[in-house]
Amino acid sequence: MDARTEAIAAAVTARGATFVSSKPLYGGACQENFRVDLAVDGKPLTLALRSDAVKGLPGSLKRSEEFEVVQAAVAAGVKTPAARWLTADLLRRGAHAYFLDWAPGEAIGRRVLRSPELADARKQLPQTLAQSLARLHQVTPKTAKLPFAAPANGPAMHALDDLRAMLGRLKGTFPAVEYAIAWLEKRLPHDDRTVLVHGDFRTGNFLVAPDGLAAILDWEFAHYGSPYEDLSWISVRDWRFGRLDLPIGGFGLREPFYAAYEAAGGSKVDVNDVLWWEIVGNLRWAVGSVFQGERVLSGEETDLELVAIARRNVEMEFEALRLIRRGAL
Amino acid sequence: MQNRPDASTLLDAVAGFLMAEVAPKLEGDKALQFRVMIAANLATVVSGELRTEDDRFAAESARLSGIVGANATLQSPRRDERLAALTAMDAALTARIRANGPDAATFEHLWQTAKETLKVVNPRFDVSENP
Repeated sequence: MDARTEAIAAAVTARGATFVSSKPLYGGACQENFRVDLAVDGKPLTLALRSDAVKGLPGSLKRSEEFEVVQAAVAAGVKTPAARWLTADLLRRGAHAYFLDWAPGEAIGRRVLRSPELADARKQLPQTLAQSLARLHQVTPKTAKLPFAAPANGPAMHALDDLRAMLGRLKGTFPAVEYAIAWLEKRLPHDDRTVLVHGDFRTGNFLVAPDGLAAILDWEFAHYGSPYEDLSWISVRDWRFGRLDLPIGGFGLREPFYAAYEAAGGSKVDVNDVLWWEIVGNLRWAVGSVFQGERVLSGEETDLELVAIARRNVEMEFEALRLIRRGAL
Repeated sequence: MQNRPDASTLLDAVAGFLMAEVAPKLEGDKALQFRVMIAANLATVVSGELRTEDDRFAAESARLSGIVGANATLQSPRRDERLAALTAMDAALTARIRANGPDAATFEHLWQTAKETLKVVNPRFDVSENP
């Protein structure tokens, strides 16, 4: 047993369960994930372990904060695995980790959109995702105590301030992004309510099984913001994985998705506000992709994929300009 | 200066070699194969940038001059100085957007520039208005 396996075994044993095995899972840049097999009262149980990584991404939650978000989401009836056993210093000093119920399924975007076994699942995906999203958005700063603040000037202005702050930290000028921000500032959205948002609600973060949605994953970018952030991020061009004809995640049409959201108790969806936030989403990803490249340019990392992503910012800038030109979705 | 075969031709040869001879040998290691394909694509992108740079520079700087005024250094014999002039004009455009807000001429320039850039860095990207 290596040191990490021993640490996981010790944490499981401390909770009165019997450790069987663990293996690392490939995943995000902000956490380390493992599959852990164990037994509780003699019954086999599989869990996923999420631990803080050595270095998180800017704007991402720590596992101890994420644990509270997952609990709030589960309590609201969102289809996401329950979390348990938040543990300090599990894999290393200062890093929190917790366990999630294991859910089987496929998350990789292109496979979710193309796998023949998931054809039936794709048909019901917009409906079930919309239901979970409507439930999540019932959680507000008034109803839940979570470890972050609501944006003082409202989600819309906060999003523009945030984009400007990100631009300020980059070398170089990005006139297309500046233009889009100036355009957005002149027509702020009508609905500026603040709710709990997932923050990375898109194909790739949904675990899909042949019988439908298995789980919504990856809560590290959850925050208090506009419900339209989640409603529009799923339609950002890059997250359609080439299926531009299916604007909901590359698998669905807009109208049934918005109708299902409204039917499940979400507020009325204003397509002009979706447009506003979809432009913001494309800008966030444009600027975010430049930041990925900066990690290499600063000498911090040497990953080939990160430098390649940095040159893709023009795709997202184009999409933001295209939406502005059309003035409609 | 030795420039035959030119830089774009050399980069195209590197890309072709990676795609035709290296990538097929890596079926057993899909992750490495994918990265080799990214490397080949980056070589193709740089090749295309070099091949089209003069034309794109001329079009972009002419449009920018019409909006923020010409910059004498655009005519410099040194490439680094010409590119720095373009960067300075972009900074002027940014300041103008912040001061005056969005306007049609600026939009048209940014729209054309994005399309010209995409044609080189990702020729498969659909740049139509209603894809």
